[in-house]
Amino acid sequence: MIEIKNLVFQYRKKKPLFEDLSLRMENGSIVGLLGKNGAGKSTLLNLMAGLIPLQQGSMVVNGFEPCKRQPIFLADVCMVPEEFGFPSTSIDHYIKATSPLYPTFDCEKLDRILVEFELDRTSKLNQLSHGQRKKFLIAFTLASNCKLLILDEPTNGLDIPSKSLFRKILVGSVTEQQLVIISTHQVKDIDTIIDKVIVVENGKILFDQTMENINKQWYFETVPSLNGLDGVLYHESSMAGYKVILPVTDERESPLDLELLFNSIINHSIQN
Amino acid sequence: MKSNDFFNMKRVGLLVKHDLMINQNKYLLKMLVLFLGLYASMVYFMLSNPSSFIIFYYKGGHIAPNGYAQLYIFGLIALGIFVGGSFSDLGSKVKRTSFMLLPASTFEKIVHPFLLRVVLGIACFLLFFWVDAHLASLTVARAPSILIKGLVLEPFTFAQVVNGFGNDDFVGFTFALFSFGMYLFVVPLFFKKQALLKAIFVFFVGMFMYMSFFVLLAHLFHPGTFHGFNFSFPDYNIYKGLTSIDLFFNSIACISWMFLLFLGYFKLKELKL
Repeated sequence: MIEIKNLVFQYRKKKPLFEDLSLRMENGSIVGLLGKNGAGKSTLLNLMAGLIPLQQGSMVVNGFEPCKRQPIFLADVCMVPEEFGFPSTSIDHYIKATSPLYPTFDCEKLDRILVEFELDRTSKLNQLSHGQRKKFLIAFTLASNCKLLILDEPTNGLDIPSKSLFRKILVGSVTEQQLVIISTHQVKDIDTIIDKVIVVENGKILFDQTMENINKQWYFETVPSLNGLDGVLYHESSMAGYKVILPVTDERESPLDLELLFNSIINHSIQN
Repeated sequence: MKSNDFFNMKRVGLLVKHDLMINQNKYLLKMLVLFLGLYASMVYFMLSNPSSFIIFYYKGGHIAPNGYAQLYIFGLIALGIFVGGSFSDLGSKVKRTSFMLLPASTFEKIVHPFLLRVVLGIACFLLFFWVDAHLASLTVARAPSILIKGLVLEPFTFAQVVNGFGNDDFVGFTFALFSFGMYLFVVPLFFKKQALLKAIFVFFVGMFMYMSFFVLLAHLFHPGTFHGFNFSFPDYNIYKGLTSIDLFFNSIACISWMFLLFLGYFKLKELKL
């Protein structure tokens, strides 16, 4: 569980990134953290992982203050950073060296994920492609079974089959005790797996809704023309006509178009 | 803070194991370079200046050679460079992230490289020095420069290193080198790029400024007595040959490593991306 209250953060000689930001995330969910470039998504993730000290406000992650970097806290946090590197060793050797540091690490789960990702334990990490190394890092992170999994742009560098495999594996491996936060620009990669959408903009949380609430409030549809449509909250032209967001007025539900929702939020057509 | 949050031997063991497994090739290569470098230096110095490795006996006493003592200092400087590499990777954002996310306390993260690079490093160095000294003696025993002069290299013992310094200086030198090693261990934490080189540069700049300060004081309080940097400290005997200058420098040598370790701990504690 993550609880952030009145967070204020500013990099030196820059305008404040977060001003009075408050946020709560419960375990047992996959959260999509979205925002434009420079909105502070990675900074927020780094703050949650204790990589950057808090300046003002409070942040509690799984009952700990992340900036104290207590070992029990760190043993329950695993991160896929946007930029990562591996030593020049084999997958097998890396697992044997690193997995004992995580008390809840599940080697069998890792083996299953490695098979699904078609990664060989004997492969040298530095001889793998960027996408393969990313897949290994995702596999290791999921197998750590940590309560908090932070994935910063996890699908960057993955090919199309790997992206769908990633979604399948992630959904299949996360438990009720875990909280997964995914920050990405590639919203289509995660729109079918997230339970909650959070949008950060101008130092504030612009949108924070569960999928259930989104489905109850908004309907996503592609229509050939806007003529005759009442109550359109947001629309974008597309190859097939127009993609629109409408208020839900009956029991009907639609698949989420996360990119459309994100654009509507950023354009202030839809609000929290 | 619970004691388990601060220090846990099992976690330190896991960190050491993790580091050894990940960097085993690097460490083996560095140890090999140290072993062969020491051996080659010993053979070279024994051949070029064999008298530095011979004990000259005379009626009522002997003259201790200082060849081993000099090589001991060179070897420890090489070890210092190895020790100085402990945190030099942290200049890279990627490696800093991995390091900071390792599930261990800040204290454990400074203890683990201390154990691995300082404690284990010194143990390996002493072992290599002993083995190399014997191997080098065997190698050069039948060399012409030794045979012609009729010199006999005595089997190496660490007493020869201690005697080479003179008993009074050995402890001071050892602590001074240890403190310098701790300086190289800790100060790279303050730099992001070329950390070790910058630490060495800062050391020499600091020493120069320190000496310049004394020169300035000497010129201020004793004008006309000295020329430029050509001055000497006035010292006096405190106790059985221990002079005030000995006490001053030995105190700095013996205490500074503790201060440096504390400094390193707090710098590591406030480490951020």
